[in-house]
Amino acid sequence: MDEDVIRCLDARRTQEAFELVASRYRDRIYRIALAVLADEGLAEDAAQEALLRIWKSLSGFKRNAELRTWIYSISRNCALMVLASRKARAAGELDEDLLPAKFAAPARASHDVDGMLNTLRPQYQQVVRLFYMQEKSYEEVAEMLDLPMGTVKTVLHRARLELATMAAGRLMQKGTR
Amino acid sequence: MMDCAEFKEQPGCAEFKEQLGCGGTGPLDAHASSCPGCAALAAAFAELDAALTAQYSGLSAPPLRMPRALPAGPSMLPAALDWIAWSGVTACCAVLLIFSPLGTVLSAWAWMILLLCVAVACVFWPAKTLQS
Ligand SMILES: [Zn+2]
Repeated sequence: MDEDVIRCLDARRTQEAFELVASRYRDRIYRIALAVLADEGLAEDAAQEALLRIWKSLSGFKRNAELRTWIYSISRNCALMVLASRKARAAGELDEDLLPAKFAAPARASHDVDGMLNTLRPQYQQVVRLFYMQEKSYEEVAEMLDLPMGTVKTVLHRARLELATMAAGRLMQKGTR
Repeated sequence: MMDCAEFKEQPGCAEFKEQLGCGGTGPLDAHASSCPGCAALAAAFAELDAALTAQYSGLSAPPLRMPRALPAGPSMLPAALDWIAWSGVTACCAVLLIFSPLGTVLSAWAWMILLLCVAVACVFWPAKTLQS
């Protein structure tokens, strides 16, 4: 898939190689960031930082690894770095806007799917978000989050069951009122 | 007849059967028709799936700034300022020498030193800057 990028790198055409990488992976880099951070603004910052890191170190990319695995790993690291700094700030300021999604205010309505998603544990949230962003591909989610396929399937099942149970409870509550 | 625990073990119930390779939906439907709790769960699954698909499917990155070229080499400005400062110091020393009591004796030497410094700076400064 990335042979053209490797050819450019071998020919020391780093800028061209980077442009290929950026056009091919920018959406996935952003999606990883959004899955981890659950915030579009922060995800954009993390994706931007990931692109910059890729650009700086692309010429030194070791051919014994898969390029996309390397890109996903940089993307995850950048997202986790942004998440860590957000948590540190939240701990320092106790500002409700900065609190991690896990501690965010509970969902207001049954259709507020993102609100319900935010009540799940972080790994469940990441897998669910990425699964839907990647057109329900288990392989891609496993690769992008560096998780075994079995874990992705199990997490996804449990996460959706939790969400559905929450939503069904609300639906039934509404019905009995 | 399937029980509630078995129903919940079917990953994603009916709508995900293609991806997960579940069996037919017959037993699921049969259970849901007689169990309001599981029927609500199945309905919630379907609703969730639709909502999550609508929210996240095919999501694209916003426009990101692309680094365009490799970083430029170090700025020439500090080196240029260095050169101007040292030229100034050299010129001041030369002027002081010229107008000092020794000036009449040393002025020719002072001018020669000044010119030498300028010549050396003109050759070595650009060479050093280009090398770095
Ligand atoms: Zn049941």
